[in-house]
Amino acid sequence: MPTVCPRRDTSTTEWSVIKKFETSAGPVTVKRQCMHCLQPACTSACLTKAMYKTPEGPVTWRASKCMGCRYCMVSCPFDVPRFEYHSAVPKIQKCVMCFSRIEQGERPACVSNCPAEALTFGRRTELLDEARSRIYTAPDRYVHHIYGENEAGGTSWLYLSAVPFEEIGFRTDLGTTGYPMYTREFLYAVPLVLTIVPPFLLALNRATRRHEEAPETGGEG
Amino acid sequence: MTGGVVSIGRPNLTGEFGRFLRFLLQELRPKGPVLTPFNVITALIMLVSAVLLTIRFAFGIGSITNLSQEYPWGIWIGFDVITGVALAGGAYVMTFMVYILRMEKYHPIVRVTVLNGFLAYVFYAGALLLDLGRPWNVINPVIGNSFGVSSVLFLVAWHFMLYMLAQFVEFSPAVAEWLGWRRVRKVLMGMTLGAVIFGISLSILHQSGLGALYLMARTKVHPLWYSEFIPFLFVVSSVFAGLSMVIFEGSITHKVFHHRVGKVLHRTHDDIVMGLAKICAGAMLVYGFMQLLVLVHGQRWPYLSTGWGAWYLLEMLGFVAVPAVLYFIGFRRRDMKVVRVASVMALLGIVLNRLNISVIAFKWYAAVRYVPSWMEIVVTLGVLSAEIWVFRWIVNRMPVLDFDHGHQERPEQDWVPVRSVARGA
Repeated sequence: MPTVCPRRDTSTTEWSVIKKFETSAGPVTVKRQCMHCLQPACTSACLTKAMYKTPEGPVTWRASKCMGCRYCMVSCPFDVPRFEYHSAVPKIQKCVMCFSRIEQGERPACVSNCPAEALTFGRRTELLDEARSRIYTAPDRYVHHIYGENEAGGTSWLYLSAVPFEEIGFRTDLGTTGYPMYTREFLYAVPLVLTIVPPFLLALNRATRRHEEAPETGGEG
Repeated sequence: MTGGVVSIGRPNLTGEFGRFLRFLLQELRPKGPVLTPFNVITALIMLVSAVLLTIRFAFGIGSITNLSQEYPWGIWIGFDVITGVALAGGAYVMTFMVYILRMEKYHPIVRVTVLNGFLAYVFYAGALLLDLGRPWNVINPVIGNSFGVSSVLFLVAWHFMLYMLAQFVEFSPAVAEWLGWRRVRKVLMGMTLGAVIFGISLSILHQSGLGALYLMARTKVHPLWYSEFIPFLFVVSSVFAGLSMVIFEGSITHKVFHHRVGKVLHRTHDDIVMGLAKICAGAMLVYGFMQLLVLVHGQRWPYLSTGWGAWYLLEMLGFVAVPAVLYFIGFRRRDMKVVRVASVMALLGIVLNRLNISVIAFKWYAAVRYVPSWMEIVVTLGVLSAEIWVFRWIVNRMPVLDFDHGHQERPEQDWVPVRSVARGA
């Protein structure tokens, strides 16, 4: 059994881990796993659509499509996808929010099995209402922030905390923009470049032509 | 009636084919001494690489690399692909200068530059396959069952493939001349301008696309190297990266393949290098100014006083500003030595910049840093060796360096097939 400490991290075999932090309010344990972003960086990074955001919410991985480029790992703001480096047939491993259970109307295993009911499962809007009402009714128990409400455009996992989130290993510099938005402008420029640059180059080629030259010998190599 | 036609045609065809095969077999044999120190060393490197790659495909990428969950991309991507493609930018810049702007002065080196670019893409972009965990699925984004069109990598992958095709078309007249295929050559010649225009458009997009890959790694790359302008910086720097590579490679190629260099290229080589030096100085001035704007605009100067700041200043001053000034001095004094030093420093600057973004300043806060294993370096050298061998084979056989003529002064009858075996003449 690995020790519960801040350094402990998810791995190819542990999709979800409990980290323990010494904070200003004493020791705090945090469960970390894939955040299942609303606009995931990994699915927009994936060039084979192996990373897939299901309509129900979980982000899953499809083996038959993945080519193992690991661009999802480069893009993920939470560093979640894990790659099997010591396999000839490597897989990407990450929490899939027990998608097969959710499909059958069950709750994820971690939620079902948590005896302290520290985890709740439901519709995101209702969970946000629940989180806000808890902060409102017990303003001294919680920092007034729901981590995941807006982080990286919003995530399916939402966290309430008694200590500031940076003290328990959460990145607070991710911004509130969905990650796919950061490459959108570039991708929008692609059809523009492909339609404007070629005629411009052709025009330039024609404009620089000397008069005595025959039209057909424009490019020769 | 028809049978008669076939019986006349058949022996000719088989005879042609036999001659063609004999010609190929003869060309496949090495020219010159085999057991040179260069050959022995590079053969050894390639042999070791082959063994290492066997291990890698049998036991996984982690068996020979130091990649980790923190560092999914190492030097096979950061150096081979991202740096290699920037250094291969000379081909699109040179075809732009020669075929679009008709700067005839540079015509004699356009073929060798396109060949270098083509091989760089084949080998360095090809090295991407070595890094793929599930390479058998590489066909997925190609055949259309899974088009991840929202991915920058999808764009880059497609552009690599299409650009390789465009470069092959650009170079193909040399192959036709080598084989003595007069009619094929004429058809291929007609496709050059189209391939050039297509190739330049693709290059602008995938050179910038390699930078755009890091737009979603915005919290992982050190702020001194990350900005939303990375795509622009990558395109502009690929101009002088590519041309510096042309100068650097040219100075080596001219010594090693002296016997293959044609009259015109021999006469104009120094002029060409000086012209390129001037262009490089200009492009580096633009690039340096853009970097300065990004630094000021992003209010990143507080970082300059840190250790990373010193490393950044070394890159920007030592390997951008200094080589730019050296290029300018070399051009003004017509000093080949100074220009060559400038080209090497500019190349180092590009290597530094690309590695800083992809490896060195990537996860700069990580507790355990990635350092490439000796095996990753050997495989990289193996890829480089294989490329040099193929380059040498082609340059020694096809009209690449002895391609003297600008397209205006080259009459149709004047081209001389290196071998006319295939035509049976």
